[in-house]
Amino acid sequence: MQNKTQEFKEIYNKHRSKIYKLCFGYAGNADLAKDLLQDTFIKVWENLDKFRNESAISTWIYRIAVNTCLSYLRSEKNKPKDPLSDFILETKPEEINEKNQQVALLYKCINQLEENDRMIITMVLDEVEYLDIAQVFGISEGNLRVKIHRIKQKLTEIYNYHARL
Amino acid sequence: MQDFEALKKMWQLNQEQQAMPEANDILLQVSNTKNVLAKNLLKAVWQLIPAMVIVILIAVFIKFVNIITYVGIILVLVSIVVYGAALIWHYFNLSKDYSTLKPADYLKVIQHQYEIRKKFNQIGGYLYSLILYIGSMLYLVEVTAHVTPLWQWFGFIITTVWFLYVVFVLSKKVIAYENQKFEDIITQLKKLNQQLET
Repeated sequence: MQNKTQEFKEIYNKHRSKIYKLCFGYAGNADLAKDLLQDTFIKVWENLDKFRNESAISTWIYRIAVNTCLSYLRSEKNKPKDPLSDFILETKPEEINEKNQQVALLYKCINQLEENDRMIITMVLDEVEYLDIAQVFGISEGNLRVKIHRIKQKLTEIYNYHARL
Repeated sequence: MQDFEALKKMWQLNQEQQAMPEANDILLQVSNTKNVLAKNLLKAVWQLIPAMVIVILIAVFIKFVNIITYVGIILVLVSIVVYGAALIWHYFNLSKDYSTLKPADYLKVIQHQYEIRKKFNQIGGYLYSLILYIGSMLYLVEVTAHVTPLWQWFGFIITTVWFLYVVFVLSKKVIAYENQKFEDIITQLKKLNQQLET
């Protein structure tokens, strides 16, 4: 048990930032992202004994996170809020610089993509291997490449459109 | 104009650390979540126990002449046990974790569960109500033997109306609500899978 706890803590500290960003990109607000992060790692803890090293642990955690996000937002009451206003509300005034605004806008643009696309692009931005992303979503690498190409174009278009406003 | 590489750079430079829970907070949450599930199951089972005890007490302490009355009591007990078993089965299903499945596999699991629940609701629900109804009617035969025929018929009619209400109104509403929930989930999952296919 002690070993499992230790192993879990190491896994959590190593992966929480990336999973949080995935959840934030998907959910669109910090509170919900924290809830999703928490739910994801509760499931990681509960399934840790079943993890068989068939894939990288990061891929396995990403799959749990993706399923957690999709399951959570399936219910009508948990519609995402506007990420830009949330992000700014949570940031101290002196920290609202150009960089933060750009990042907030990026989150907002990601939030306008379709559910699966949001998570795929978040993983691409975090430089997760294509093979791992394909495994998480259960699709072929070829199919994924086509999708990523399309999502990149779409995200860039949305971002540049909003940046011009 | 920013290209995708510029957006990626922006994303990766964003090292803004949000206040995230610590590992110990998650571990604490794990035990709380398990407690809630166990507590709900316990509560549901506790609610069944008084009904069961009352039926057993009636069977043990009241001497009935007619063997049919005992058959009725046994049928009522069987329906309570069947309901309890269904409750436990439902909780086991609830506590199963599908979070490590691929989206397409998860859709298959949900569709399979839906089929099982539909069959269970169609056959199991009617069977359960019927057993409870027959049991109650058999019990009423002797219990109402000493009252006037008018009151006896009143008892039978009330039990029959209750049975018809449960089978044709109440359970239909519950089943329709559950089916709607399953269908919503399946529609959403299909939509998500379509996103992956196109």
